[in-house]
Amino acid sequence: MKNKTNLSNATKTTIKQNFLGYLYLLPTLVITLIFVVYPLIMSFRMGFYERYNYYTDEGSGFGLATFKFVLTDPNFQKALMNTFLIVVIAVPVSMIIALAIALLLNSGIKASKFFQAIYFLPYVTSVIAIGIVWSWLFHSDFGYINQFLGMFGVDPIQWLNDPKMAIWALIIFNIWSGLAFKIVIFLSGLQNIDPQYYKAAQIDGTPKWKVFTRITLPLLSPTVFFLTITSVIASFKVYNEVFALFGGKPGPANSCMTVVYYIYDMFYGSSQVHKAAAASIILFIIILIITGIQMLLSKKLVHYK
Amino acid sequence: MKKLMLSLSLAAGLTSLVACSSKDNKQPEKEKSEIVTTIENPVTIEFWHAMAGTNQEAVEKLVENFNSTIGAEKNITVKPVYQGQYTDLKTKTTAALKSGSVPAIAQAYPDWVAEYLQSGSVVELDPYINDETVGIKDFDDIIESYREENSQYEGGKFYSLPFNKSTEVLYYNKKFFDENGLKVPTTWDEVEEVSAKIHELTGKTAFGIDAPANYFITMVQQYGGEYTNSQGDILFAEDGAKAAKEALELLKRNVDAGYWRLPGEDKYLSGPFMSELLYMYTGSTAGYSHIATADFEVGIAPMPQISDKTGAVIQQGTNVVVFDQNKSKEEVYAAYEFAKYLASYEGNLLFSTETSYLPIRESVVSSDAYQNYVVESNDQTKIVGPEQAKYYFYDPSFYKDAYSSYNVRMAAEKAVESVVLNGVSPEQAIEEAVNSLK
Repeated sequence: MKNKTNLSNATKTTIKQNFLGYLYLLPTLVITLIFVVYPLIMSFRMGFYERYNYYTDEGSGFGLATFKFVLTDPNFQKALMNTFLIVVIAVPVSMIIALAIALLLNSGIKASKFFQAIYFLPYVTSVIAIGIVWSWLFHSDFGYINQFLGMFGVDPIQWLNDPKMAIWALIIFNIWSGLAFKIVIFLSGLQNIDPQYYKAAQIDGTPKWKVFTRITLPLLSPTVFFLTITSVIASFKVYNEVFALFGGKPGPANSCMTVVYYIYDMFYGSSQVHKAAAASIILFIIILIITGIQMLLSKKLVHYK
Repeated sequence: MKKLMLSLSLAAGLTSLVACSSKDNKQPEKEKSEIVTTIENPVTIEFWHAMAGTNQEAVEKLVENFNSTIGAEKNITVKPVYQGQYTDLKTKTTAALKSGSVPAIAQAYPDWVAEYLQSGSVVELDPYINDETVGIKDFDDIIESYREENSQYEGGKFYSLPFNKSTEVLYYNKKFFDENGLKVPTTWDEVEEVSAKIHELTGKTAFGIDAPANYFITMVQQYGGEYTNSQGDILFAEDGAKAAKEALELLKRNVDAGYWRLPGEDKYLSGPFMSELLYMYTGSTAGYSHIATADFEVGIAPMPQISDKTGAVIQQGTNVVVFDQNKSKEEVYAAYEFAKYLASYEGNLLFSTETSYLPIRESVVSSDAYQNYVVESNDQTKIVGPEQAKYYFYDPSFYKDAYSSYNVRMAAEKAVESVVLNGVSPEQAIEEAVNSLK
């Protein structure tokens, strides 16, 4: 009997303490509920209506009709294809380049701190400003890229005018703009590797390539994993780059439409908010599945010390 | 425990407060009642606009003039609020309509009005315009196309009044034309001819189209077809899309020959025109300020036509729209009075002589004050633009569940770009455009 009361007293204290804890969280929770959870639920709800009045929040035709519309919309299909292309090409390429630069910076070259700062600059510069600079670099008559290629006898490429080339201009821009963040993360990952491993390898006379594949890469795998997840998600959300490079258009003849640009245009341009909502739910599901696959793979491939 | 209960009830209160405020914007059914045309207690209303720089100065002058004359007499004070660029203005107005804090009056493109109408808060202006005491008596003085545009909505009702307007003209390098004895084209056949000559002389592109969508919309009509109507019917697809095909073929032929171009990577043609990479282009009168400082004399001519019978030139720009959401009848009337002033002879004369926008009234165009201003400012867009008024048409605005006028415009632009940049045949480009609008 005595025991029981003790226990319930303890439970009471715990409840009381927990409650107090939640009370401290309350302001954050209320704000999150109002500004994150509530809009999230509302936009999910919107996507399931066939017709929706944004001003009165009244919809009709609850079901999957809007999803069907979005999935069969040639613009959305184009957007999906472009987005996958960016993910499949830009993510690995920029990872490799970033890793190479990070290795170089980590190898103790002169003025490495200076170069670190230089490489990080793009990350803290506005994408819109960078986009304007790139749109000049890509200019078919006056751009440096074509002038450089011209030195090797390459005819001017219509980077931003030709609907077939525009997506490659976007991918190149995207690779470059993703570098800064990746280099910094890779560098910190590299600096976390215990130098003892390298010393041991040196004593054994291990060739450099083997040191990289057997020591650096496995010990860097958590960093690689983290970067893959974040950059895949970021590449699925490419929008700023498109907007900046083509001056507020999804490329020549809509050739650079991406999924998030599609959502933006459906919302702000067409004002078909329910279609924007449906498209964003589809994007959410795609990202969820791909991240899930990455998580599963990571169990096999990532070594935590 | 007391404290706990207190904080709990506080939390409950907070959430119910939030719940309440989100319901506020639901308005009671609008009763069709008499309008108010007198104001006892002074009211202050906000005017949301997107006019920056010299345009903003002009807006502020208009407001000052209004407040010190009509406003003072009728107990109205207008407060202008700059909301950023057009896109920002639209986003903010939409958000305000949703949260119940929309201003009494705002600048709006016709297709925005078509969207705003869904909110049920846009005021029908007919009872005010036709009112015996406060109506607009010289309403017919406003150029016909503007009146039609502002009453294209359901039931032919006026849901807006015209404000800042522009049209398209042909800009050409006068120095180059004079030196080479070239004739300024007035028809599209002549544009083609002159383009060929210029290309032969310089090896460069001769002519450009600044707004691809406008080309499509205008040329479909010049070729005797129709584009859309305010009900959202895709008229250019009818009759085998004959006019649309002809329009795209004309363009394709000349682009393939290296005579014509679109802005593409340059975004606007004012740049290439200033650097003499191009000798003429069709563009908005509102863009004249960008080329007024060219090293050579800029010539301004009317838009080329196919024939006089099917003459067509787009007129565009925003109107002002009045909202009654959470507004008293006095505030709505005050907003109408300001809209009326903006569209009045005095207001429009001031605005069209202080900015690059065109007059909306015949009486302003023919007034001495305006004619003197044109001579002084040496801005020929101000003469050539309004001279085309008989050919003015507007881009019809509508909002349907499946698509809106914005989507049709985007589809038209894509069709033009596919033909020019992607080598798609006109037939296929039109088919794709029509298919995307379902």
